[in-house]
Amino acid sequence: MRAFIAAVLTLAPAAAPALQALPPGPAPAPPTALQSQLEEVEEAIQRGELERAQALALRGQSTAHEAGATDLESQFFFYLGLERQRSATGITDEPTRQRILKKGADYYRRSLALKPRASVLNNLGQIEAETGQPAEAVAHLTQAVEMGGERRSFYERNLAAALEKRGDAPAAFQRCREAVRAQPEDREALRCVVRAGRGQPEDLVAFLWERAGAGGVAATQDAALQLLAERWGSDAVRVELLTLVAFTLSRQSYAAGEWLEGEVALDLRKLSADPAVGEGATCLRWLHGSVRDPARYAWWGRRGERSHDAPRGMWPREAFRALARALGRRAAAAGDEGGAEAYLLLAAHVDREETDPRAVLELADLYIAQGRKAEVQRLLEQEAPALFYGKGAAYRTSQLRRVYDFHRALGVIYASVEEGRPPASPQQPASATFQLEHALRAAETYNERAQREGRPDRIVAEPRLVNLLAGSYAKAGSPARADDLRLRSAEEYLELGDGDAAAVVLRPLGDASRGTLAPATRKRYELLVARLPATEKEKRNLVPRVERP
Amino acid sequence: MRRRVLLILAVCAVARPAAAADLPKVSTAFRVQAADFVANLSPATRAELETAMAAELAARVRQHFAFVDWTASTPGAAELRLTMVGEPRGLAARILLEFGATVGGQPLSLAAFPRPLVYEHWDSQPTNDAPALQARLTEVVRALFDLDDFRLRLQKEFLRAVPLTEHVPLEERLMVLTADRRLVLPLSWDALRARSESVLLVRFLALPPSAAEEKDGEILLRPEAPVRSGSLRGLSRCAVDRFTFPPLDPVGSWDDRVAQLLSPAALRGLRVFMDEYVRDVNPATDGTVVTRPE
Repeated sequence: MRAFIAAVLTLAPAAAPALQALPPGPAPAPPTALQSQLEEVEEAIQRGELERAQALALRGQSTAHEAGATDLESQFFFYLGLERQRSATGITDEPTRQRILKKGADYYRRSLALKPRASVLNNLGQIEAETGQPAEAVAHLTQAVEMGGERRSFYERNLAAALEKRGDAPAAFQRCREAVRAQPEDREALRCVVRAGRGQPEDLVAFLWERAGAGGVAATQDAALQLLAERWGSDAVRVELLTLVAFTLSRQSYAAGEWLEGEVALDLRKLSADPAVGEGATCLRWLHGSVRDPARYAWWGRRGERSHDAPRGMWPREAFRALARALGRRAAAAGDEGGAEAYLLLAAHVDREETDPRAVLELADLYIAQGRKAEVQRLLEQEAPALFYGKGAAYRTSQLRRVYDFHRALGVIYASVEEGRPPASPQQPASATFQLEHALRAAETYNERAQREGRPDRIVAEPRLVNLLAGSYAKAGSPARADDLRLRSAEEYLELGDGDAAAVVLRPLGDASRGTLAPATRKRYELLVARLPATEKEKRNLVPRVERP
Repeated sequence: MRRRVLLILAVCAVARPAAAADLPKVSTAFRVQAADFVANLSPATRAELETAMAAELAARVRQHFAFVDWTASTPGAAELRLTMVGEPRGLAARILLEFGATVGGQPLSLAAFPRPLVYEHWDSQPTNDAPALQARLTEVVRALFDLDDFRLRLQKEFLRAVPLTEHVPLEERLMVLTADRRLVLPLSWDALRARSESVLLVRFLALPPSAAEEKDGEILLRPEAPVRSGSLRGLSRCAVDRFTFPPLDPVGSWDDRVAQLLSPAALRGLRVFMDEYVRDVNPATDGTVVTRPE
C-alpha cells in the first residue's frame, strides 16, 4: 500500500571546503563524465555553493583541456565566470567587487576564445556595464543579439538597458522594440518598450499600432490602458491610445456582459473624469451595455478626418465602427439578430455626416443570408442617399479606398434588389452594373497609384463582385463583355497567386451548355485554365473546352 | 553548514530519486462537418485532412503551452477539438471553425470562443480540393494563434480546467518541503516552462485531525524554481501565495497546517491546475544573466 511517510533527509554538507572534498584529479575523462561534471557545477551555483562550484569548474576545465574537449572547456569557463559574477553580488567593498567581476570577465573571455556563444557575450556585457565599460558592454551585447538564438529578445532587452545607461534613449527604445518583435510573448520586452518609449510618444504609439496589427491585441491594450491611467501624453496622444483600446477590443473575442464585469471596463471607468478621453471611455462602456442611439456616441463619431487616412492605425471613428461591427457579428453568431442589427446600424450612423458603407453591407448580407429581400429593399431606400452622399465626398477628396467601399456596398445591394428583375440601365447610378463597374475601377486606380508610390497595399476585389457584374452584363445582353471581365479578372487573380479566386470567376466559361465561345475568348480561357493549379482545374471541371459542333 | 530538509514523501519517492511524472496528455482533433465538404471529399481524403489538421493544431498550441503534452495521435485526459461547420447563407454557406473541448470526457462551455471564418458564402470554396482546403485552414489556425487574446482565452476557458497530476498517485501529486515552506509538483521544471507570474491552483479534500467531516481547501501556488538537489531534483518547486481551508480565511504565504492537511492521514483528494500560465520564453536566465550556456 502506498502511503506517505515523513522522512527527514539530510542533504550533503552544503558548503564544505570545496577543494578538499573533491576526488583526486583523474585522467582525461570521457565527454559524458565531463558533461555530468558540468551539471554538477551548474547545480552548485544554483544552490549558492559557490566555492564548491568554482573548485569543480576549475577541475573540469583542466580535464577538458587535457582531453582536447574545447566545447566543454569553454562551458567550464562560462561557469567560472558565472560563479565570479554571483560571488560579487552583495559585496559592498567596491574595489573587491570590481576585482571579482574583472576575474569573471576574464573567464568569459577565455570561454569566448574557445567558442563564441551569445550567452557568454551577454554575461560579459553585464559585467562590463557594471565595471564602468559601457562601450564594451554595448559592443558585446550587440554581438549577443547578432548571434541571436532562443534568447534573442532577452539579449535585446539587456542591450537596451546598457544603451539607456549610456544615455542613448532612442537606441534603447529601438532595441526594446526589436526585443518584442523577436519574441512577442516576452512580457518584459513590452514593458521595456513602454518604459523606454516615454520620451518618444509618437514612435511609442506607432509601435503599439504595429503590435496590435500583428496579433498582440491584449498586450497592446494593457499597455495603452496603463499609459492612459498614468495620464501620460498629450491630449491627442491620449485620444489615440483610447482609439487603440477600441481597435483591440474589436479584435478580441468575449461576451459583452462578461466584459462589463471585467478589468478593462473597470479601467475605463477610472478614466471617466479624464478631460481628454473620459467621454470616449464612458462611450465604450455604454456600447457594451444597452445604449444603441448613435447620438450618444458623438465623441467617437466626430473624431477623425474624412479627407485623408490616419497617419498610422486608424481614426477614432473608424476604430469605433470596427468595434461596433465586431459586436454586431458576435451578436449574430449568438443568434441575436436584433442585437446584430442594432450594432450594425450604430456603426453605420455614428458619424452623422458619413454613413459606414461596410456596416451597411454587413447588414445587407445579414438580410440576404436570411432571405429577407424586403429588408434589403428597405435598407436600400433608407441608406442609399447617405451612401451616395458619402461616395461623392470620398471622390472629392480622392479617398479611393472609401470610394471602393461605397461602390461595393451599393453594387451588392442593388444586385440583390435587381435579382429576378429586368436589369437597370448601366448608365444609371442606381444600378448594380454602374456601382460594381465603379467599384472595380476604383480598386484598379487605387492599386496603380499604390504601385507608383511604392506602397505594398492594394485592394483585391472579391470574386463575388466580378460574378455579380458579369451576371449583370449577361442579363443585359452583353455576354462578350461578361466573358472579357471574367478573363481579365482571372488573369489578375492568377498574378496575385490566387488560383482559387481565378477558378471561381472562370467557372461559368467552362460550362459548355452556355454556348460557343468566340475563338479569341476560347483561346484566352484555355491559356488561363492551363495556368491554374491542377486541383483548381479538377474541382471546377475547368478543362480545355471542347465546343459543341 | 548543514541544511536539513523535512520531506513528506511517498515511500517510493524516498527509496529512489523521484522521476518527473509525465505531463498530462491533451489530444487535439479536427472534424469536417460542413455538408458540401463532407459530400465532395472522399472519406479517405477527409480522414487524411482531419489527421493533418489535428497535428497542425497540436503543433500550434504546443508552441505556446508547454505544461501539457499535446498529442494528435492518442487520446488524452482532455481534448481540444476544432470542427469545420457550414452556416447556411441563402443557397450557400459561410464556413467557420468551432472549438469544442472536453476534460475527463466532460464537455466544457466555450461560449465566448471565436469562430474563425474560413470562407464567406460568396467565396470560392474548395469542396473537393483537400490541399487547397488544408492550406486555407492552416492559414486560419495560425492567424488565430498569433492573437494573444485567443491564447489567453484558451488558457482561461480550457487549459485551466485540465488537472496536471491526475495520472499520478494521490500521495505523490504534491509534496511538502516543510523546512523550506515550499510545495513540490512532481513535474519537471524544464518541461513546465512556467514563469513565476504563473499561478497554480490546488484543490484538495482533507479530513483534519479530530474533525468529523472532510472539507475542501484551496492553495494558490507560484512556480519558483527547480528543486536543486536530492531525490526531488529537477521537479518544480512552488511558493504558497494563499492557503484557504474553512473556517480558516485565506492566509498568506505559509501555514503550518499545509503539511498536516496534505499528509496521507488527512488527504482524501487533490487536483492541481494551471490557473494562469506565463510561458518562460527565456529559459535558464536570472535577472540579466544567462545561467546555462547554449
